[in-house]
Amino acid sequence: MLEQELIERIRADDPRAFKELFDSNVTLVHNVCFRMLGNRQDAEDVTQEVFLEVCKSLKRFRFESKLSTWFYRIAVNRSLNHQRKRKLERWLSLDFDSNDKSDEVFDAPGISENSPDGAMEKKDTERIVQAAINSLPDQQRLALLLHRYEELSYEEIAKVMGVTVASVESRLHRAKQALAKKLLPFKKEL
Amino acid sequence: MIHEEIQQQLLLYLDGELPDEEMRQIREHLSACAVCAQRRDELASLWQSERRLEKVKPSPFLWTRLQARIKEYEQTPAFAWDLKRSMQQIPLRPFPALAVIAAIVVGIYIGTPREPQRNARVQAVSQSVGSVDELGLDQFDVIPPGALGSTLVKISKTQR
Repeated sequence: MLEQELIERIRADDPRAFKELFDSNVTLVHNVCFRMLGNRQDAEDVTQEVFLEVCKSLKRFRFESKLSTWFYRIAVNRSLNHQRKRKLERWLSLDFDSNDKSDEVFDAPGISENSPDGAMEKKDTERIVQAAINSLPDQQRLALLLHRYEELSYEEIAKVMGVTVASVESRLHRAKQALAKKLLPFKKEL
Repeated sequence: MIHEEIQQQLLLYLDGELPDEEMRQIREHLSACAVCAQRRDELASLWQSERRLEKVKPSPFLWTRLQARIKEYEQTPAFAWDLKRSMQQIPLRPFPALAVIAAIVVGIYIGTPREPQRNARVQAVSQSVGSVDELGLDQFDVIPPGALGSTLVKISKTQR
């Protein structure tokens, strides 16, 4: 009900209403974009695009889903488009190696079984897991990000991704199997 | 289940996302296999220590930058179109249908023979045949060569 009132106020051109909408959703949008894109600058650019899209489309929003689901959906689509654009730009510039974070876990110093003291910092642990997640196929990675970091239910993830619940389960299943294989070589000193 | 299969399922096992029977089988295996049990502990320490990082906060200037972009957008022709569309709630769906209708109309126009050419051909046929009326054929019908109608016309001509 509160969401509906806010939307009606925006449609009535209440100048403070859009700011309220922004404030209540910007962290959600920015977080999804950051997790998908891996850097703050791209995340902020895409966050702006998401809110610009919301600004254009709000008059046609029909409350067929929750507002947050709609925001997630736009954020995910825009982030995927941005990634594809970046990949194409890198390919066209023949710059295949830069900004490719998917193999970071294998190159980062000190993160190996043969490091002198064998111990890993928490930051290294985070980088290892993030890099492994980043190396998954897009659809598996997306399902995992929404489930693990946004704590969305399978039903909500299905609505965001526009697939069935069974499809979400399958993607998460395969994502975790693939991650287990990637993470197993890395041992933490217990 | 062999060790590799067990280890591949360990994240799902740690998150409790396997069927009960499979959970039981893995639990039994882990209690008997030191290597797989160690793998489980290693994965658990990686997977669970990284969990639920704080949300990444956006820059405090993001709102200002967004306002500038919205103002920029309002100066573009796209804004006028989007505004008109949202006011009239013109859905985008009719446009593919309109495109199909336009294609049909163009197709009909291209496929329809032009009147002056049609009349000239009809006249030429009528003059050469002469008995189109006798066969009860509409004098404006154009009979293509080799068609049954043209054979009937020839027969009629020779019988005169």
